[in-house]
Amino acid sequence: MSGAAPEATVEAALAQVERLNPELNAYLHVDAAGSLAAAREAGTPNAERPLAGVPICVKDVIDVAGMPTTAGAAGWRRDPVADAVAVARLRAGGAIVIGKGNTNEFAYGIDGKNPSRGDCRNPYDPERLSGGSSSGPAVATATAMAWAGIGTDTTGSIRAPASLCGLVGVRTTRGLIPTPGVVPLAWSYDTVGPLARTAADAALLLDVLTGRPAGAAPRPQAAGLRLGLASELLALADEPVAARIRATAEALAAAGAAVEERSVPDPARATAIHRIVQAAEAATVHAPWFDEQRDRYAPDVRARLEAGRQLSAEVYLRAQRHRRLFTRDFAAAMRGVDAIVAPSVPFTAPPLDATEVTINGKAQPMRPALLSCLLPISQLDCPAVSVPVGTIDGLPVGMQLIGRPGSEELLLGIAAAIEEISGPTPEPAMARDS
Amino acid sequence: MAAKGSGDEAADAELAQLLALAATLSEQGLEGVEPVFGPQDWE
Repeated sequence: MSGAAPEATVEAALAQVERLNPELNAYLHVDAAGSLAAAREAGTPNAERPLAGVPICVKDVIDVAGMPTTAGAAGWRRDPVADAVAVARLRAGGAIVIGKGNTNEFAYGIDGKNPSRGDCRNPYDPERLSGGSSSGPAVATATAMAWAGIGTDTTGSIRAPASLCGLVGVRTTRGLIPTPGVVPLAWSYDTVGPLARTAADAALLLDVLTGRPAGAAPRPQAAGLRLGLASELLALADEPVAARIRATAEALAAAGAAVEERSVPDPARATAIHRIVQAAEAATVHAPWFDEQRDRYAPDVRARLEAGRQLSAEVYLRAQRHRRLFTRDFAAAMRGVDAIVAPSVPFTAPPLDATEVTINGKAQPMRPALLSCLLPISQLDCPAVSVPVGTIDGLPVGMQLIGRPGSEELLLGIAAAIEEISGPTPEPAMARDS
Repeated sequence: MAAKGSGDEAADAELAQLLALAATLSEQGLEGVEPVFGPQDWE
């Protein structure tokens, strides 16, 4: 945090919003007057209110009392009178919610595009994808339109925009942060977590979001750790990204970690499981209003929901049983190591309108390619952190750290060590031009 | 599984993909595996 007075901090964030949001579409709703009024009352950070006066962007699937929740949709809206649990904890910790961040419609997408409310754009190059679905909180954080963001990660929706926008993003242990007040996508996968510029910021947010007293900043950890480099996920990465992941793993080894390649369960198994479970659960969430509202959905979301409602209970439960087997196999692959390391998104931000991406000379459909290294990890109850490991041609690269359930502190310690190795990620040029 | 088409071409294509994926998830190896999750699967 800057140490500036809350009013000045919030005014600076709002000035960035005014300057950048028309082009980047990070916010769907901004409460300038309310934010400034809250800033005047904020006081200074202390043990009870460690986030006093810091401006936050909250993904628009998470309820903030006094602001509309639209889930990024064209016609769906609710006006909550109570905060989601996560937001209530942030506000109790002194944070100021500036507004609601853009998202793929109903969080059912990974690219940050939104046909009805406007695509969120990458601040490193607005002609490229931001990643999603927590696109708005990510872009707001990367450009100082907020100090940090709060998003949801069902399949990879925090880690993907963190990877493409140069941020630390945390998929939390499932169940660690309560989800009441969050529009569900697929409840057996849904998690709430932070997007931040540094591992220390993410750790502080996690303390507040989990209701713990704020602890010390994470201690950089590498020496003495045993890390497994996931062979099957590394093989999915475009070579320049794979080379950067390998180089970072080697640097962690030079800092004292024992790093070895590890075989993990076949990612294709996870894809089959995930697509079935997510489609069935999402269709169930939307069932009460789907028939009446079907023509108002974005075409890709409508098709997924329409298909999901056709799946039988037998197909859904068989996929869930396979998910448990996949989890057991992954747990076995982690024996003897403290964490697994892998790419996050296995390439840098692609052009906004691309439908395919070329990875190691082979054209692949965009959506599964964006998800390939993230989706397998979402089958587990585990936390996963995406941390920046520098840039390639001016675009950020993300590395994924995967631990056992409840190991967020360890992963953020490794992320802090990586920050020491990689140095600060250059902020987007447009964030500092004024 | 007997699934009815919705009449929406994109949805029907999506459903065909899901059912093809479901066919890759066999019953083999599932004896005694319950669809519940938690720390019991982790050391």
